[in-house]
Amino acid sequence: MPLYRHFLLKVDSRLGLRPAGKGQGVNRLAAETSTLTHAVDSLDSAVLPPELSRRKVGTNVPVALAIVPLAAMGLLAVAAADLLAWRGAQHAGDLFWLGLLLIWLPASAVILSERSARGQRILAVVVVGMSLFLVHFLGSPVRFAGFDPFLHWDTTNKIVQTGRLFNANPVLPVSPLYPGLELVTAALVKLTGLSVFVAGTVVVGVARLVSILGLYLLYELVGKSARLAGIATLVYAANPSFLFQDSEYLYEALALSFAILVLYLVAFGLHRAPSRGLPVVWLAVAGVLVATAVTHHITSFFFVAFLLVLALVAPKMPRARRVFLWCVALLGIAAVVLWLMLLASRVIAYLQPVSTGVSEVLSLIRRESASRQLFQNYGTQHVSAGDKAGAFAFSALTTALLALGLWCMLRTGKLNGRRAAFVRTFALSALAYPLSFLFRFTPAGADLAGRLSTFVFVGVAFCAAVAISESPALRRLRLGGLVVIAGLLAWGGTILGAPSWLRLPGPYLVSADARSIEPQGIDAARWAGQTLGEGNRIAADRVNTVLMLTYGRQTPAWGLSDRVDVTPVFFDKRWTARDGSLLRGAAVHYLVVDSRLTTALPARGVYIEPGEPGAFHHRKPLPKAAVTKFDRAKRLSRVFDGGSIAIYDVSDAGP
Amino acid sequence: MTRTAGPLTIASALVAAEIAAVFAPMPLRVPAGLLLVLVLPGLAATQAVRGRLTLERTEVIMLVPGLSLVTSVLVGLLVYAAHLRLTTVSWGLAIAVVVLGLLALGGRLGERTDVRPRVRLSGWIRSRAVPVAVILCSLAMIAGALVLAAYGERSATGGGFTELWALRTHTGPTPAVALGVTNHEHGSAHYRLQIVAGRAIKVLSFELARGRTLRRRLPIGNARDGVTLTLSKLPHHLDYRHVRLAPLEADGSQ
Repeated sequence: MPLYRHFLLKVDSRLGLRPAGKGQGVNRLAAETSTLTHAVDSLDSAVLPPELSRRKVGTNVPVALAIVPLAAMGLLAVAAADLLAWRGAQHAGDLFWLGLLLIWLPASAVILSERSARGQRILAVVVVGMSLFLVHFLGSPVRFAGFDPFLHWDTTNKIVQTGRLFNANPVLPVSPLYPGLELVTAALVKLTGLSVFVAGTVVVGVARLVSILGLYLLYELVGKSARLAGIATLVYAANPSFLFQDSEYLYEALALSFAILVLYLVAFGLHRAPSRGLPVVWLAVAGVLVATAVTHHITSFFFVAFLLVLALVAPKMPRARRVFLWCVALLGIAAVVLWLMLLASRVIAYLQPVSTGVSEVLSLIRRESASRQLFQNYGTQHVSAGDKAGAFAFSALTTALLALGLWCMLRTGKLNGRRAAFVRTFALSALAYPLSFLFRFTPAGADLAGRLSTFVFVGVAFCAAVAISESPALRRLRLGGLVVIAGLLAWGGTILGAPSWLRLPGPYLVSADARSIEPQGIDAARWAGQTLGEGNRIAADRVNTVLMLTYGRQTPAWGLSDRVDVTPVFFDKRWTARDGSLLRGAAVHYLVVDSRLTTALPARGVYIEPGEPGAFHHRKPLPKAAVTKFDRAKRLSRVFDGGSIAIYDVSDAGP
Repeated sequence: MTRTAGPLTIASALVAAEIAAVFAPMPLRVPAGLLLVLVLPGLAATQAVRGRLTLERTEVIMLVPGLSLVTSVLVGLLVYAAHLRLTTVSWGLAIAVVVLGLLALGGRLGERTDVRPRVRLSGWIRSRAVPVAVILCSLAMIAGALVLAAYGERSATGGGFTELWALRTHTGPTPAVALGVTNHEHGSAHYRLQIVAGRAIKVLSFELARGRTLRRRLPIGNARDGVTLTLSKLPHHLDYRHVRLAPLEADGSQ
């Protein structure tokens, strides 16, 4: 057999194509080598999916397919846990963990196995990513839950109603300035007739699919290994934000998928696209970058910084690729800065907690302030020893894998290889992870550290995957040991992602986001919208504020947008002239008072908003007199009584 | 798929989806709208770049929804910048323009040169019956999970409650109070409502089925009188709910 024919058959078998017919061989070889970009750039994994050459097609197929029904069974277990949790059953948590186990462990085994084929790994990461999205969705499958999703729901509602952008959102004023998520949802609502809840869930679900596949393909392009890519995606899925925060109807969820798409397209442009295809890739990157810049502030800031570092640390490469890289980075900066300057300058004030967190860390280092106690719940909920162990295990394991991964990169020369630009940037961004621990010791920084994990884990996951797939110590470990490590990461990440009271639905808790949203509050808000009319100025606690905003279509008084703080009205034990003048100053017409606030400390640290008296330092629940005082005020009318929730007409409350 | 069949198929799907999204009833609008927002723009974009780039199947699966989402954001911004309202028609037209533009661009960028690696399936999986059965079983289980979770959330009504409300109303010849009682208890309930307006007292006794609302408009003698309403849930809950309208000052304020 001629040599070229032998070679052709080899290429065909790698690609999974049928053997070429007689006489077509030379032409076929020429056609394929020209199209396999990079001009037969040595026929390595630059073009071919990296493990095609190594994979053993057909192995583990039953196992790979089995992960789908096992994950479905896991979801059934989670749904049963939710059902039990709504009824206050004690052991709902055990069923929840069993469900997560069924989703996580079989898929981990497929991904971590050296024998799995590339397609099986892809199936496994998609099953994990989408199942974890559904785990969160099952917690509240008939309406939005949590606090932030309501704010975006309001922004979407207003776009759907008015057909215009940039309508005011009194509780989250920056949300209308970054309308990417709401635009896509509004398009779906208009074109399908679905509700905002269903359309929003579909958008976030599709964004999750894009994120998970984008991450896998990005890691595969950079790491040149399907196994490494699968492991990195799996480790990313264990990050504390993945299961809860990034599955919610938030602008960050969509922006993250866009940002990952940008990184993937940049890697594609650098390592796979032929030179003549670079302008097309650049055009695509430009579109996605603009969409990211108009969808979420922090995500766009972080990933533009990532692109800039990528351009700065890139090793020598052909001029066209270097120009491409710098063009992308500069375009990213231009898009973010222009949007910020022209339309979203308010976001600078909104991001003040970031600078507060940094200054708290600095004063902690200078020993000017005491550190925050770890595992301290604001409410009365107890943090179990298991939760503490899980959180410590996650942090220790992740840090160890990160260090091991960095060592492996140094040892194997990955930091100087052909794809060193991404490897170096991953390594640098991953270093932010141990630094983020410092934030956990400060009151303002704790929340920030949690939010950072979404971004820094893009780098951490890659380093951890390098450690697992390339370090001699872990390579000796059997599959079972690796699955245990993956299980520990998932367990700890879930614990860190949400406190125990937020992992499952259940009976009402005070100021506990999803756990505070229940029929009484929803019906009171609906009554306000239908009977009082829309757009009245109202003042309420944290949860009733978002219910009144969305179900009731009222206009809440909120410190962030009004610059008038009415929170003292809720804390005074006696009705005073100052309360009246505060409400009149904020033009408040109705006051919503929830007597359940007196039953417990707020789980989120505040009853109303961060500016309230004693915020994050409440030691005793709100006194009863604070809510009953309104009944004794002569000029207030109690117009609604729903049991726990009363609404007062305070239009004539002034002195 | 031949070189021209791709764009033609996309264009045909676009026309069908546009018609369904704008004119068809609800069940047909859902797939049409999903296609317009989440599939066709990305499909047209990947089709357009195939003259210059090689895309593997997984990449196409990721890029189609990803680029569709991006397109929807950019289209929305452009429509707004053009001072048009974001209505069903404007969304539909704008997406159609973009999709057709991308298809035209694809025609200009040159011939398709892509080679899509195909994963060869083993004999075990090549027989489609087994994977199809597995997927169908899994989907059934996921549907079951959704039903179970939705049932859990819908049935979690807490302890049940009743709402009482009252507002002054200025419509009609005489001053009056509009009042309402809504039963959200776990079943029918008997109520007794006492209304005190100035020196006048009125009592209403009634039964309400679950989810039902009683509405009344009660004239009051003096528009400035304070009004107090006390609702009892029989037989046990005296003073179950109460509302109070403060007396009005001479200038009409409370």
